[in-house]
Amino acid sequence: MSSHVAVFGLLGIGMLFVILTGGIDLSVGSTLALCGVFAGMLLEGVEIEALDLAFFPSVWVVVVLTCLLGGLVGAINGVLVAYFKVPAFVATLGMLYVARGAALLLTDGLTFNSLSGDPALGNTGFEWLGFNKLFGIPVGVLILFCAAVICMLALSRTPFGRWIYSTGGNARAAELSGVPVNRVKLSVYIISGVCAAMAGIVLASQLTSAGPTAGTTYELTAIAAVVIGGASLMGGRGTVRNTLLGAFVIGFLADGLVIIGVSAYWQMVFTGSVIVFAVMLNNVQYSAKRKSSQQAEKTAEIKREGSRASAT
Amino acid sequence: MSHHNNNALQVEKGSIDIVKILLEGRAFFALIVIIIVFSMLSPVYFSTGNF
Repeated sequence: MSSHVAVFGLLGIGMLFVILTGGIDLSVGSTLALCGVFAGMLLEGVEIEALDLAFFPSVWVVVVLTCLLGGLVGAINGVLVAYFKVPAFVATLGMLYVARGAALLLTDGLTFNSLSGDPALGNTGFEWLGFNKLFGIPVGVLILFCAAVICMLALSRTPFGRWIYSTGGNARAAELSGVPVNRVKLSVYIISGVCAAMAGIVLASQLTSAGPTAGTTYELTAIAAVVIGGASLMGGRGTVRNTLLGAFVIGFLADGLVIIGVSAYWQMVFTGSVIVFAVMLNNVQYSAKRKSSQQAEKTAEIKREGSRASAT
Repeated sequence: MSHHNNNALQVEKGSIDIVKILLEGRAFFALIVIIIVFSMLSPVYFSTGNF
C-alpha cells in the first residue's frame, strides 16, 4: 500500500515545484514510463555493434543514468516554457506524446521482464529498490521521504525556494526584484523530470518489469495529490508536507476501495469526487484568509482613528 | 460598551480559529477518516502486512 503511495508521492513532489511557479507538467506519466523502459534496457545490456561491445552497467550506474534522462526530458520542457515562451500546458502536453512514443520505440511496444540481472555480470539488485524493507519500511517509501526532506529544506530554507514562491506569486515583480525567473522555471521542470525518473525506477523495480505503457494518467494523479494538499494552481501557494498528505490520501483511498471490493468504476467516481471537494475547500480557505486580513485591516484602522480621537 | 465589543471580537476570533484549523489540516483529517472507515470495513486494511 505505501509503496503504491511512494510513486504518487515522488511524482507529486516534482509536480508541486512546477505548480508553485504557476506552470503545470503533464509529461510526468510518460517520463516515468520512458525512464522505466530506459532502466530496463540498460539492465538487459547495451550492445554497440560497430565496436563489437556489450555493456552491462551495474544498478547504481543505471539509476544515475535514468535520473539524468529524466532531467534531460524536464530540461527540454523547461527550455520550451522559459525561453521559447510556449505555454506550459502545451509544451508538456507535446512532451507527453513524445516521451510515450519514445518509450514505445525503445521496446517496439514490448515489455522488459528480466530485470533481476546476472551475478556473473554484477548488475543484480534492481528489485531491492521496490521489494525490500529497511527497518520495516519499504525502500521506495524511504526514497520518497529522502526526496521529500531535501525538497522541503530547499523550499523553506534556501533562496532558491523563495525564488520559486515569488515566481509563482508574481513573475513580473519577481523578475524586477532580481529573481532569475527563467532559470527558476527551467530548474523546476528539471526537478520534476528527475522525480518522475525516480518514480519510474521505483515502479519498474516493484513490478520487476518495465513496460512502455506504465504510468498512463499518472500526471493527473500527481496534480490531484498537489491540489488535495492545498496548493493553488495559480502558483505561489503549497508545501511539500501537504502534498505528501495528498498523495497518502489518494493512495490509501484507492487501495482501501480495492480491499473492500468496490468496483473499479465506483473507485473512479469516488476519487473524482474527493478531488473536486478538495479544490472547493481550497477556494473556501483562500476567501476566508482574504476576509480575515480585510477584517484585521479594518480593526486596525478603527483603532488608529480611536487613538487619534483620544489624542485630540 | 467597549468591553462588550471586545468580548464579541474574541468569541468571533475563537470560532474562526477552529474553522481555520479544520481547513488547514483537512488533508490530515481526511487521511485519518479514510484510515478509520476502511479499518472498520476491512480488518486487514490497517495491518503491517498491508503497509
